[in-house]
Amino acid sequence: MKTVSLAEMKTGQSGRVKKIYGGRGMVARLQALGLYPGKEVTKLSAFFQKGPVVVEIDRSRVAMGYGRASRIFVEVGE
Amino acid sequence: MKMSPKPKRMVLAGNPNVGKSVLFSQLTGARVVISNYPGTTVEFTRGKLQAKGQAWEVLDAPGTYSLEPTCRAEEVAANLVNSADVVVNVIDATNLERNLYLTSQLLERGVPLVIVLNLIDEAAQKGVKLNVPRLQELLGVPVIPTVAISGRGLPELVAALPKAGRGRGEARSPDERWIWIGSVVKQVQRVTRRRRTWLEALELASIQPLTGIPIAALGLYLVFKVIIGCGQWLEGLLENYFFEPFYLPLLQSLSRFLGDGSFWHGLLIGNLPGGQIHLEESMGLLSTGIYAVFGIVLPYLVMFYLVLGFLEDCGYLPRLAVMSDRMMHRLGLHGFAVIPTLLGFGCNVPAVLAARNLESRRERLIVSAMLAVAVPCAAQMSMIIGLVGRRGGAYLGVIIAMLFLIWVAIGLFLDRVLPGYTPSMIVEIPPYRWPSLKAQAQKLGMRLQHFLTEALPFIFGGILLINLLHLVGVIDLLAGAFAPVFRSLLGLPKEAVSTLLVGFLRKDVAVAMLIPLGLTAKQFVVGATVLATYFPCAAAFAVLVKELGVKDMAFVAGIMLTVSTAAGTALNLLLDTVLPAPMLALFLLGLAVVLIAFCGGSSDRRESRKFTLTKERRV
Repeated sequence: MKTVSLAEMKTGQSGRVKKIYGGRGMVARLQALGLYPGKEVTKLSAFFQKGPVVVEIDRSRVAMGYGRASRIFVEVGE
Repeated sequence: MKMSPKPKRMVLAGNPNVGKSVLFSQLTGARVVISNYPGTTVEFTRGKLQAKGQAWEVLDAPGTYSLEPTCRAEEVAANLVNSADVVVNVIDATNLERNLYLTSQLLERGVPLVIVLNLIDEAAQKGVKLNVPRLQELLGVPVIPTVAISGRGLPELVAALPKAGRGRGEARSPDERWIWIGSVVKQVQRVTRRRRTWLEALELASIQPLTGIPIAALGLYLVFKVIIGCGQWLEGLLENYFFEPFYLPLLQSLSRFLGDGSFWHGLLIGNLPGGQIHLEESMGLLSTGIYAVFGIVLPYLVMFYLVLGFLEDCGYLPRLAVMSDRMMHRLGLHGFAVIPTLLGFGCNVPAVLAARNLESRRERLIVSAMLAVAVPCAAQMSMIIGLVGRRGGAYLGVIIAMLFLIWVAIGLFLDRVLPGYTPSMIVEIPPYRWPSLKAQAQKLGMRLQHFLTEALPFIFGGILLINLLHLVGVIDLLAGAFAPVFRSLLGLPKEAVSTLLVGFLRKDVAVAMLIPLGLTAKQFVVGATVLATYFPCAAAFAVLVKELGVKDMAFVAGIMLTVSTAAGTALNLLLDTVLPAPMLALFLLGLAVVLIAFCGGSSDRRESRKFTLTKERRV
């Protein structure tokens, strides 16, 4: 097991959210969208040049900017 | 039947894009704009419902993921919930887990609650099976499965309203909420994995960079092609089958009846260039007034709103937000800002309101300024396409390229001078859905009705005003005063001053007023660009002041006047004298791209500096 940010994670890879670094507002918003520690996420797509990242949580898809994705850390298998 | 004297208040609450507005319009018969992207409703809408002797006031709240609001639209929703006699919590059945978060908060508040399990058909299609009786038992409030768009389950919902239950009222922490949700979902939901449909494959392809960018480029090209091509076709139809054979002869007999030179002739028919009524140039209420609205603007407006309606309802817009996120970040915004921008090509008023979905005041100011200055509304754009387009596509290209350059420059400038930075976006990507024909027709009808009721009085008012000012001699006075600026900087005749006055009322009429001046193609391009950028029309101005405040609006107005003078002067100096139209269009476009690539992203750099600090703290 190793911990990487959503930004560093490979497209198609799945993992479990470990920690979210961010202000109260951001954590609350992600939480309301179903993205919180312990949750299983799959990365669907990433754009080059620090572009946005799209992840799947349960059956919903959430797109987020690179800045936010690099503050969400996920535990993935080797 | 005896009516209860006081109507009770019902609030529709739920996550964005779960179909609250569809339900609202089905319940009340009121017509509201619905789409397939989160954040269509930013302000609540009110409607009425009569059911079993009880009058209801129904409020359609903006979508929210949580009662702890993160943007202005969500604040509205949170406040509404507290004022309700019954809250109808609309849940997307395909996504129970996430939707139950808001439900858990509503249960904690102890408000009288009925739950609507919407999109139950789509859930079944996706292999999601829900045990409704068990869910009702666990939540302790009525749960009604519905398909709002077809009306399935609505009688059951109305019948369940008096049985609205209150939650237990114990406060939980977010973590406790998710644990509770997990246990509920485990007991009521069975998911069977199914083969991926081609629509789902397309959903994936349109958010991947390798396939998504070509899809976006092709889409954008088609949008332009369809709007301009079909718009011209419609315009020709109207011209050949209505205005030429029927309307013009009618006006000619009216003209003979009134007699050239009389007051009413001047007002209704206008002047007669070359002794003939000219629908574009006469400038009378019934000649140019009617022709400008119905003959030129309406064909393109209809096409634009048809295409926009399709894009909104199929669910593509949030994907476009993902595609453009990178570019928008360089302008101090993030991808979601393309949605208000696109709406602005219809009308700037709803576009400025849609900017409420953006979290920070900074973003709202940047996007509103970019909209107000450089995004011409459909009516104005139709006029420009109709009038400049016939002098060659390249001239049209110059105007569009210039507006794009201005749009970029304002973003870069504001991003640099405004303190703070733009947080990156978080947006839910909805599934693709086939737009419902009924909803499409309804939305188009509403938008056209809005245009006609809003536009006609202003168009007539504008033409009336200009005729009156001419009579009093104000125009000549102003024209004399501004003539040096107009002639030396912009290369426009002094009569063009009057178009700026009318532009405060209606931009489309103002553009039409350039026709009788006998301008060259170049002068037309300069005039149209200045008119597009110098100031918003009255309606857009009012909403901008309301949303931005007087101080920020004054700042934006300063930008407008500067930018429009500079752009007009530059075009006057360069077009046709230094560079021919096609080359100039390419040059301006290239300049915009270079600016984005090399000058953008100043606030992003500030943000990443801030993040480096937090990372050090972490280690």
